[in-house]
Amino acid sequence: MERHDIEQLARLARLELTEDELARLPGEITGILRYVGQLEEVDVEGVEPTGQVLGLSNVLRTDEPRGDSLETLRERRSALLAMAPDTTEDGYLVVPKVIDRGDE
Amino acid sequence: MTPKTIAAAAKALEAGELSAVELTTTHLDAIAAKDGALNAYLHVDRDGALEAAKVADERRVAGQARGALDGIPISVKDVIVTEGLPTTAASKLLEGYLPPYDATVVAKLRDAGAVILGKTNCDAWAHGSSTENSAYGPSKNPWDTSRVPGGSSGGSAAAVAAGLGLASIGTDTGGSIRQPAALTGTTGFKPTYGRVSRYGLIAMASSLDCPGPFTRTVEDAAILMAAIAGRDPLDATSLPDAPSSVPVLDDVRPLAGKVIGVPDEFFGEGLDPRVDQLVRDALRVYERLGATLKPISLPLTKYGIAVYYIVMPAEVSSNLARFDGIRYGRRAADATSLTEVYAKTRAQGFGTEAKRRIMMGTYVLSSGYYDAYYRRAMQVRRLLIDEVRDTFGQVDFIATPTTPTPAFKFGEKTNDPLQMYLSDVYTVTANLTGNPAISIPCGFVAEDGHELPVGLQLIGDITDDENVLRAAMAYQRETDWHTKEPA
Repeated sequence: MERHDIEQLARLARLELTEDELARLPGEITGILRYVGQLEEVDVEGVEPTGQVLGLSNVLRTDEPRGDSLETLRERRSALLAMAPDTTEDGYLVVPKVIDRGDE
Repeated sequence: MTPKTIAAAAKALEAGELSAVELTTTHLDAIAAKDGALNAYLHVDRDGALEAAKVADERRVAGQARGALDGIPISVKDVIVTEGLPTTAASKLLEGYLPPYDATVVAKLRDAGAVILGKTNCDAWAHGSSTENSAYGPSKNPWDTSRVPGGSSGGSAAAVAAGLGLASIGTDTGGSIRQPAALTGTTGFKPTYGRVSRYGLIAMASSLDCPGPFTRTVEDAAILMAAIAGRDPLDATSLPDAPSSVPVLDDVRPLAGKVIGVPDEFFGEGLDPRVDQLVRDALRVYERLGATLKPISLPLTKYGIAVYYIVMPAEVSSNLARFDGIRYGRRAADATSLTEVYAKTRAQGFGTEAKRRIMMGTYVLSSGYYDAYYRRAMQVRRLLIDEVRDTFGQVDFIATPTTPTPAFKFGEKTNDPLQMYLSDVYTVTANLTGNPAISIPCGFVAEDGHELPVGLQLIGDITDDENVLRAAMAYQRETDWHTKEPA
């Protein structure tokens, strides 16, 4: 991994890295990748990839509203918005403009 | 003499020998006296705990005591949300965050009458094996405070080892309950994946995360499991209910007819010979209990760490994407655009290890590398699961050391991330395959004038949690390692 690879990953992951991190990370990530690269040795021909151990799929509940009162919903919304780090207005989160110079 | 286990405390409470308020006060006072040196707790809820204890006493007086956990003081790892109690994942990003809800595991504990003493320290976001990645300082191993208690649930382990609470709930994704249990001489159980709800866990790797108990005894772990296990409609990977009770050992040779597989790959290079010896001694105890030892080979386990360090960062990178400074946590004050809100908040709020894992995960999932890394890792995971499932066709349990060495010193493994990762070499298999696994104390190694605990790991077949607990309990009936306390 080179510095520009790390810069690209950082952009994808929305992480602004420091100079120090940009200097250190290529070597560290390369080292880890080299280690995990030993999986090349394993014959995986025809093996189904698995993301979970229980064999579950599409675990859904019935599509019915839970029947909470409007008051309960308002209280819950207040509790959630109370933890927002910046301002809220009329029950909305306030953020910088989405379309703005500086964005890709 | 204050009771040292949940079982003993439950008896004492029932007999009226002490009240829940007295018991909780004893533990709060112990925390006040000892935790400054150990840093096991990030937050202590003195008022809330005493109130819950008082209510527990009132229930008991009214003849409505709820069972073995009623009035019992325990702690909860800080990656598990607790309503109204600060929950930070030991990170700066969530400093000041007060969850508006309880995790299912916490709600179940409260329903059982347990008293929540506070939140314990861990590696930030549960990333680590030593608590050295905590944004609030590491926790110390009560057996030797120049050494780590293990991680990521190091605070939970240190708290239980030092008698600061009778138990703790931690999480285990690659070994984060079992490894600290081994290093602190406590009992740590990772249930079958899906047995205990993940709802309310600050998710690390969703196909691997398992909440589970830290206790002084297996009996206590079983008491906690009975309360916290069970199907949860709020967790999409929750297992159907299974009967969960405290195992009863009614014969002298409770393991008669049982086969314990001893895998070559877990007794080779890298294993401290003193740990090897203690684990072999423990296996001889199992032979006395009637078990037959069978040498086995699990060749794919040597790829466990490699699979884990692809799959886990991939899932981490996805799960940590929600920390963007918008809905919760801190927001970067110097951001001038939305992209900067994300990039600066995350840069300032996440520590080095979290960033490393997010980057690894982003890389192995990215177009052009997905097949070579992530897809391949998922395939090897499938093969490893098959290998382990097949092995349980010939054995009832697999026994291994929990860790290759006893507790290491602070700073010993922080220079090279890989070195730290390798301390999970014996534990990750059970996370990748979902099997239940427990670490129980099996002896001590003397070093620098300190006694350092060593753990034996028992792995059971998928969903065979009760029998793992039974087998571990049988060992604790024959030995007293688990009763030892640090000076």
